[in-house]
Amino acid sequence: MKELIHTYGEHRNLQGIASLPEKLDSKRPAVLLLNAGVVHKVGPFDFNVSFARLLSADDYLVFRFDLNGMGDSAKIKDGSLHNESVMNDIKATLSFLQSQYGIDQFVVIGLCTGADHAHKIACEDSRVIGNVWLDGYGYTTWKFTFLRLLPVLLNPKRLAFAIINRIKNRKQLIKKARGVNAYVWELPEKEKYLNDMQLLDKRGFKCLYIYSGGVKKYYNYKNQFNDSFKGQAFLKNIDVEYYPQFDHTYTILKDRQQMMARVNKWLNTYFS
Amino acid sequence: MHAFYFGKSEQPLYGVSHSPSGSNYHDKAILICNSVGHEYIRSHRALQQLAEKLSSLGYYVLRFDYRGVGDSSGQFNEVSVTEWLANIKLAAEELKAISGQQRINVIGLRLGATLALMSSEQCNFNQVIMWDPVVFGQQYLENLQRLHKEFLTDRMWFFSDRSENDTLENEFLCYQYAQAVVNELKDINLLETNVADYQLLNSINTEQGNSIELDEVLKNKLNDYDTKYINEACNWNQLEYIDKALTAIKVIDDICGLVK
Repeated sequence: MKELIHTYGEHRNLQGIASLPEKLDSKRPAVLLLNAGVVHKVGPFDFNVSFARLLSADDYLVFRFDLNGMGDSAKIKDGSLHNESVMNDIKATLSFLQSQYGIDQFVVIGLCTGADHAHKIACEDSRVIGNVWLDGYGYTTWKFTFLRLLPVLLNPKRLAFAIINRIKNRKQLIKKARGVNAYVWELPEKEKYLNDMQLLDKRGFKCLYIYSGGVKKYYNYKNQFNDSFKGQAFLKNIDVEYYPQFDHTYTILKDRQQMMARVNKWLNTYFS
Repeated sequence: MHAFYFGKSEQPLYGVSHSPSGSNYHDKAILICNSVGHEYIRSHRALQQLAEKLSSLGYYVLRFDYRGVGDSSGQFNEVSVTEWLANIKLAAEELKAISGQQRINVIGLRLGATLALMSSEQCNFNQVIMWDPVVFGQQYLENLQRLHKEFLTDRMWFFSDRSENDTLENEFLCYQYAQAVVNELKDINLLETNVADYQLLNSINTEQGNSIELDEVLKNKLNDYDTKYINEACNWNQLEYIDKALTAIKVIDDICGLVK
């Protein structure tokens, strides 16, 4: 397996690494791995490096890179807002890979904030034909609320504790919620997401959404996503996986292998 | 900031150089040795900031990843401490070649500090600055084991308890340490490390008492050894920080002031 470092972008400040497959097939989409939070391009606990090497061994060109001002990409202040800058960087990366390797279709993989960026770039750029979200958006349902409250309701002590805590922490929670920074994504309104997906569906856009036990505060059963959008046509293009035992960054190696094998299988099902 | 590969083409190491800027141009270049495992990820940004600051002071700086670590080639579970020591030597040679400087100062963090000191005589470093060095490898391993054990049953991480059966042999916080590394770590005792008496040595500690024994030994061996405590917690041994990016503004400032 061969890896190459690339420096590119309008200001030549972006840096990334391409993991090359044995044989490059320009008809296969390339896989783009995004930054998760503030972690540089190796990903949380080398998440992106393991992913890149696994998928390139299965003949995908995989690219991991640092956004403007993160990791080994120098910060260029051009006055653009954070989200605008992120979108520009991803588009520059797609264009670079297109010109360098002749690939014009991409699957974007994002964990947490990376999932948010993966969705936004898919909406803005038709070169993106598929997304893998790891703990991306989740919309709650009645069943979610029921499953979440049940253990508390069944235990009077826990119930009393929860009520007292809720009152005590109310002010703090409001403060916390207002302190959202650029590295925490904000859940789009359900209507907005629905519109986005209806447009993506017309492009035949494929998604694999994976949820871990790390986001049990907003996702707590396998079919929650499908229940949130019952009857919508775009669901046929979305595969959902739920790993309640696993943590948010797949920090146990066997968990990570299992999740990555699932992503690899999904890629081969739709794009090989 | 320029990223490149160096070393053997079949086993390249990932390096990032920072060219000097500003009006002062120093006649020494600086090599930065990071730690490994989860500490490597935590420290990446802080060391990048340190490198930027040193380059703005006129130093040529090289950061690099050991083999099997970060963006360098190789798998973490197939490397050894001996290989990482050889990587430091290679990186020092590379730095001499790209900077044109013959005198190299090294700054190491945690295990990187330990490895820097262990290779200092062979690499003929002008100055070694150790940031929270690992003095006893055995203790370092025990801490890793303890943190990993706590992690498996911590509700911040898992919905329900996980057991050691869920993890691989010698897997600590997402990294499987090769048996060779485990054995080599057990043998590390910085108190027994040879240092040349012409070398400048500094130790910076953010945990009280981290290197008391080392300080005693080095003070007796060297004329120019300085150690100091900085009150800026890096929390190396606490579970809630294993995935938190390190912020160490005071330490970075201090290190920049120590470079000679």
